[in-house]
Amino acid sequence: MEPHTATKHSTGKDVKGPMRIQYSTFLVAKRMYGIDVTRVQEVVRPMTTTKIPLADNFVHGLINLRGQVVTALSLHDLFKLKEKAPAELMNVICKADGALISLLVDEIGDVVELDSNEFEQTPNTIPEGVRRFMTKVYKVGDNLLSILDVDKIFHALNG
Amino acid sequence: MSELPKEVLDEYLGETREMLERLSMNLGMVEKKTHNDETLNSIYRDMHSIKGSSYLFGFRHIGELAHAMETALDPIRHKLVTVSSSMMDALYGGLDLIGKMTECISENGAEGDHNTSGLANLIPLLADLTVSSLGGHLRASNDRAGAHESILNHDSPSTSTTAKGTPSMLTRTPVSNPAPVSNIHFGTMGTPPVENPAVFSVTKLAPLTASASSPVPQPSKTLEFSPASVQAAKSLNGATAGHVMTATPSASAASETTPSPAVASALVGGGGGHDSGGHDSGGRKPADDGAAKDDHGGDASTIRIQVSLLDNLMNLVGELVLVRNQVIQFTDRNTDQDFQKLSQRLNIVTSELQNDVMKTRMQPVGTILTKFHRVVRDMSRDLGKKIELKLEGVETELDKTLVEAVKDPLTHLVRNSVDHGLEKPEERRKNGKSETGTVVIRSYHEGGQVIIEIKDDGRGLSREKIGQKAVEKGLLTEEQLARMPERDVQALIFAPGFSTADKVTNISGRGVGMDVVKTNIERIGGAIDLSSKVNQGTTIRLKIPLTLAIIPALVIKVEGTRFAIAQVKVVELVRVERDKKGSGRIELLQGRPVYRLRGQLLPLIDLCATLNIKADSPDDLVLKPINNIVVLNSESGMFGLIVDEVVDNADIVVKPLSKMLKNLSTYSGATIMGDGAVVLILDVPGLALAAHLSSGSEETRGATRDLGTEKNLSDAAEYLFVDLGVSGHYAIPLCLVNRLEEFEPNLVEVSGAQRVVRYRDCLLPLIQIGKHLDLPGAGSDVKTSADRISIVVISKLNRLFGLEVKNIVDIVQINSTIDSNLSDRPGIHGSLIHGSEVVVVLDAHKIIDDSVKKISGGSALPQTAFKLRETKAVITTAAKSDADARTMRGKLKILLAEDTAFFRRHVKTFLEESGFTVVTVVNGEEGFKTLEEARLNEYAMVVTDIEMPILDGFEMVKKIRALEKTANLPVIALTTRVRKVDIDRGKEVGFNAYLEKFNGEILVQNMDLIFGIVA
Repeated sequence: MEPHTATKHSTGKDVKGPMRIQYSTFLVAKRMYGIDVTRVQEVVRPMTTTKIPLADNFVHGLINLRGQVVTALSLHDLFKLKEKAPAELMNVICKADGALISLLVDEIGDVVELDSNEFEQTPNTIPEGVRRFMTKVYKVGDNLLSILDVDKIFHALNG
Repeated sequence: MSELPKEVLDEYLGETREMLERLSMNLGMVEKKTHNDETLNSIYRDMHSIKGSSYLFGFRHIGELAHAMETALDPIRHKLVTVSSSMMDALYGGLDLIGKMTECISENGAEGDHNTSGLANLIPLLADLTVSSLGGHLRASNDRAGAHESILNHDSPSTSTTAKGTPSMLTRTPVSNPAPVSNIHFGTMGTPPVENPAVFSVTKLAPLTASASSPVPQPSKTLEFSPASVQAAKSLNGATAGHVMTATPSASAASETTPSPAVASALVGGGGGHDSGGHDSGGRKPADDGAAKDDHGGDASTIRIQVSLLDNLMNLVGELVLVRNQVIQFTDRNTDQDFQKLSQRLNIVTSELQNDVMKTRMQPVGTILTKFHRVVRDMSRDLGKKIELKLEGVETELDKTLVEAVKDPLTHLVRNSVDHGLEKPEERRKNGKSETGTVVIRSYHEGGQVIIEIKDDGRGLSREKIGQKAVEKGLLTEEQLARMPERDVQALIFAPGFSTADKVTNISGRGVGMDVVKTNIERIGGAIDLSSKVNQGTTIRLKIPLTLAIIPALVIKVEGTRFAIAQVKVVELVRVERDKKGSGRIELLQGRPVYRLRGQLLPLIDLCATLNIKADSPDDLVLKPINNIVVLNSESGMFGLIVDEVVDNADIVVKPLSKMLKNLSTYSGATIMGDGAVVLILDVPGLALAAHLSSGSEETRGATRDLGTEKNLSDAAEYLFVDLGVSGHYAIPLCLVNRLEEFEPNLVEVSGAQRVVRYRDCLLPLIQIGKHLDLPGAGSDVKTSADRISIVVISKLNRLFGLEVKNIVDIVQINSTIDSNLSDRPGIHGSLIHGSEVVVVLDAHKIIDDSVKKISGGSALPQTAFKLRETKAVITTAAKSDADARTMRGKLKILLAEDTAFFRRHVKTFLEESGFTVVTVVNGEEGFKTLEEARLNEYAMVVTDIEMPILDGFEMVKKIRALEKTANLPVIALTTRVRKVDIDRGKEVGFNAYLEKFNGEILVQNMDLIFGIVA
C-alpha cells in the first residue's frame, strides 16, 4: 500500500497562464488513462477480492480497504476490451458521490501535470464503450492520455 | 430573550418534551387510579419545572399555562379533591398545547400565535374547574395554608419537596416587585407563581453561564412580565378569592424571613433553590429544584449525550469487534502463551464493551407505549367507545433508532384497533361481550428479537368485507378470492391502498396505512404478522430486530465462497443424508426440489444455482449423499436453502453495498470477516424472489403468506387412505364412506360401458378413480391381476356407488386443513399434509356425479332438493349479477350446525366463498343456544345436519319453531338421510328445505331462493 501523495491541486497561481491540472495516470491493456488526481484517494496493491455472483461482469468484486467495503470495477470489462486482463491488478481507489470505488488497472503510471487548455476532444471514432467515460485527450510525449471522468463512470453504472 | 444559544434552547425543549411525556404517562395512571403519592408529586414537580424553565427562557405563554395547570393540580396533589374527567380533559388539553408550543419554538423560535390563542380558553377553564372541584374543600384548604406556614418557617430540607422548593424561593423574592402581592395568595394553594419573579431575577442578576450570550435583561423586562403574572393571577382570582385572607399570614411569614443578601448567591446556585454543592443542574433547570432534590441520585448519575456521538461509538466498536476477530484468528495460529492470554482478555473486554455500547442506545419501548394511554383515551372519547388499554412489558429495550422507527407504525396499528377493531358498547353487548373493549400491547424478547403485539378483542377481520373490497379495488378477481385461504385474505389488508373501514373517519380509513406500516417495519428488518378471528379480535405481531448495526449471522459456504445470513431469518439447519430406502430425502416436484420437513412440504432453493455460481441440475441434488439445508423464514413463506457447508456463527457488522449493487436483490449488504475477507450478506426475501419462490402467490400481490409458521385453525377429521395404483397418496373423507367391500374380480360384470357388481340385491356401479380422474399412471384396468378388488361404497341419493381402489390402506385422523389451491381437476378437493406425506383428498360425490354424467351421456344425477315450507324472502329485489348476489349474501349470517369436522369445514368454506357469513356449531343443542342468545334477526338462516349428537336436526328445528323470535327463521336440512320418511319428517318438524349432502351449488341456489336473491 503506497498512498499517493495527493498534492493539493495546484491550479497555477499565475493568473494569466493556463490552469495546470495534475492527473494520476495508469495503464489498461497498454493504453494510458488519467484521472484528476484530486479524485484519487490512494493506490493499493492487488487485494483479495470477493466475487459478487449475479452482478454485472465489470463488477470485479468487493475488497476490504482498512475496514471499508469497496466495490472494485474491472476497467477491462467496463471498456469491453478484448485484451485479457492480467491476474493481478492494481486498485486505484477513487472517491465518487461520497463512496469509494476501486478501478482495477494493469499498471500505475506517474502523476503528470498538464495545461488545462492543451487537451483535444475525444475523437468520435473511439468505441462508445470507452468514449462515454472519457472527457478529453492529452498528447503526452509519444503517448496519448485519455482522461476519464470518475463521476461519469459512477453515474453510468448507477443509472 | 429570543437570542438564546441553540444548545441551550435545545436543552430546554428536550427537557420539556421529556417532562410532557412523563406527565402524560403519570396523568394516565391517575386517571386509571393506579397512581401513588409519588406519581402526584412527580406530576406536580414536572409542571412546576416546565413553568419555571419556560418563564426563564421567556416563553411566557407556556409558563402561564403551566402555572394554571400547576394551580389546578395542587389540590389534587394534596388529595383535597379527586380528578374529574373534565379536569383530566383540561389537563391533557394543556399538555397538548404546551407540546404544540414547544414544537413551534423548535421550528421558528416562538410559541406561535395560533397556539397562544388557545390559552385564553384553557386557563380560565382550569381555574373554574379548580374552584368547582374545591367547592367543599375550602376549610381543608385553609388548614393546608396553616401547614404551609409552618413549613415556610422551618424551611427544613426534610419537608416535602415541592412545598419546600416553593417557599424557599418565596423567601428569596425581592418583595419590592408588585407582582408577588397578588401572587402570594396562590402560595396557600401550594402553587408558587411567586417564584416567577425569582426566576426573572435569576436572569437579571446572574446571567447563567449557558445563556451568557443572551442580552442581559433590564429590570424593566422583569416588570414587563409581572403584569402578565398579575393577569394570570386575575384570571384565577375567582378561584382563590376565598383564600386571600388566610393566605396573607403565610405570605407575610414568607416576607419576614426574606434574607435579601442571600438573593444573588442563592439564585446563581440554583435559580431559587438550595445550593447543594456540586449540583450544577441549576444552570439548566433553574426551577427544577423540587424534582432535582428528589431525583438527586439519578440526576447526578445521568448525562446527556448527542446521539451522533453514540452512533460514532457504535461504529468504532464495530470496527473493534472486527479487529478482535482478526486477533483471535491470529491467536489460533500462534503458540505464545502470553499472547494467547492477552487475546483472550481482549476478546472479553471487547465483548463487554460491545454489549455496553449497545446498551447506551437501548431505550425501553415504554417510552413510546405509554403515550398510547393518551391516544386511546382521546379516541375512545371521540368515538364513544369504552376501551381499556393494557401495556405489558414496557421495560423491554430496543435500539433507540428502532424505537423511533416503530413509533409511527405502532400508532397506526393502535388507532386501527381502536377505530375499526373494537365495536361500540351497544354492539359489543349484543355480541355477548363486555362493553369495555380491550387493547393489549405486549412487548417481549423472543429469539433475539423484540416482539410487539397489539391485540384487541374486537370484531376481527371479516373475510367477506376484505374480499369484497379487494375485488372492488381490482386487487384480485372473484375466483381468486374464492380459492384464497383465510390467512391470505386477511393479509390483503397490507396491500397498498386497501381499507375496509366503512367510512373514512379522521382517525383512519383512508387506505394509506397498513401497507405503509408493513413497509416501514420491513425496512428496519422486522416482520409483521396478523391473525384474526371474527368476533374474537385481531392480533398483530411486530417482530423487530434488537439493533441494526451488529447482527448475529450464520456463515455458510457454497463452492468455496462464504455468505452470511442474518440469524433472525434462520429457522433451523437440516442435514439430509440420503439413505438406501430413499426416504427423508430431497424430492423433485415438477422439477423443483422439495423436502418434507416434519410433514410440511418445504420448497428448496439451491444457492449455487440461484446465484449462478455453478449450475447443478436438480437431479444432482437428489443424488447427492448429503445436503445441508438452511431453513429460512421469509415473507413469502418458509423455504430451504441448499448450501455446501455451514461454517460458523458470527456477529457481523453490516456494511452497505455501493449504489451500483443495489439492484442486486439477493444481497442486503456485506461484512468483513475475522480474516479480513469481505463476505456478502444474503437477503432472504430477495433470494426467494430470485428463485421465483413467490410466484405462487402472485395473485395475492401485496398479500403475505406464511405457510409454515401458523397453521389454519382446524379440527381433526378422519380420512380413508386408499391406494389407487398410481404414485402418490389419496384419501377420501371417511364421513362420505358407507362401507368397505372386497370382491373377487370375476364377480365384476359389465352392463353397457359400466362395470358393476351385484351387491345387496342390486347392482353396484363401479368407478375406477384413477382412470376417471385421468391420473398419470392409471392404466385402463387397474388390477386385473389382483385376486380381490377393494371397493369403497358410497351412498349418494339413496343409491350406492363403488369406488374401485387397489388397496384400502388405513383410516387416519388428520388435523390439517385441505389446501384447495392444489386442486387441479374436478373430483379433487385439494391436498393436505399428513406426517411426511402429501395426501390428495378426493371429492367422492363429484366423482360419482361426473361418472354418472359420463355414462348417461350428459345428464347428471337428479339432485334432491325438497322445498318444504314457504318463507318470506328477506330480499325484495333479485340480484342482477353474481357480484350483486355476493354483496347481498355478505349481509346474511348463517348458522351452520354440523358434527362432522370435514363437512363443517367444507360447507362453511363453500358458503363463505359464496359470500355468506358463517358461524358454526357442532350440534343442535349448541345451535339452538346460539340462536337463543342472538339478537333478533341476527342470523338469517340455519343450515343443519340431521344426525348430530345431543340434539339432532329434527329436534333442533322443533325447538327453533317453538321459540318466538326464531319461529319464522328459515332452516335448511343438509343430510345424507334422504329417504322419503326422513323428508316427510323434515316437513313435519318445519324445515324449509331438505337437501342432500353435499352439493354446494344446489345449497346456495336454495338459499338464494329462500332469501329472494334469485327470483
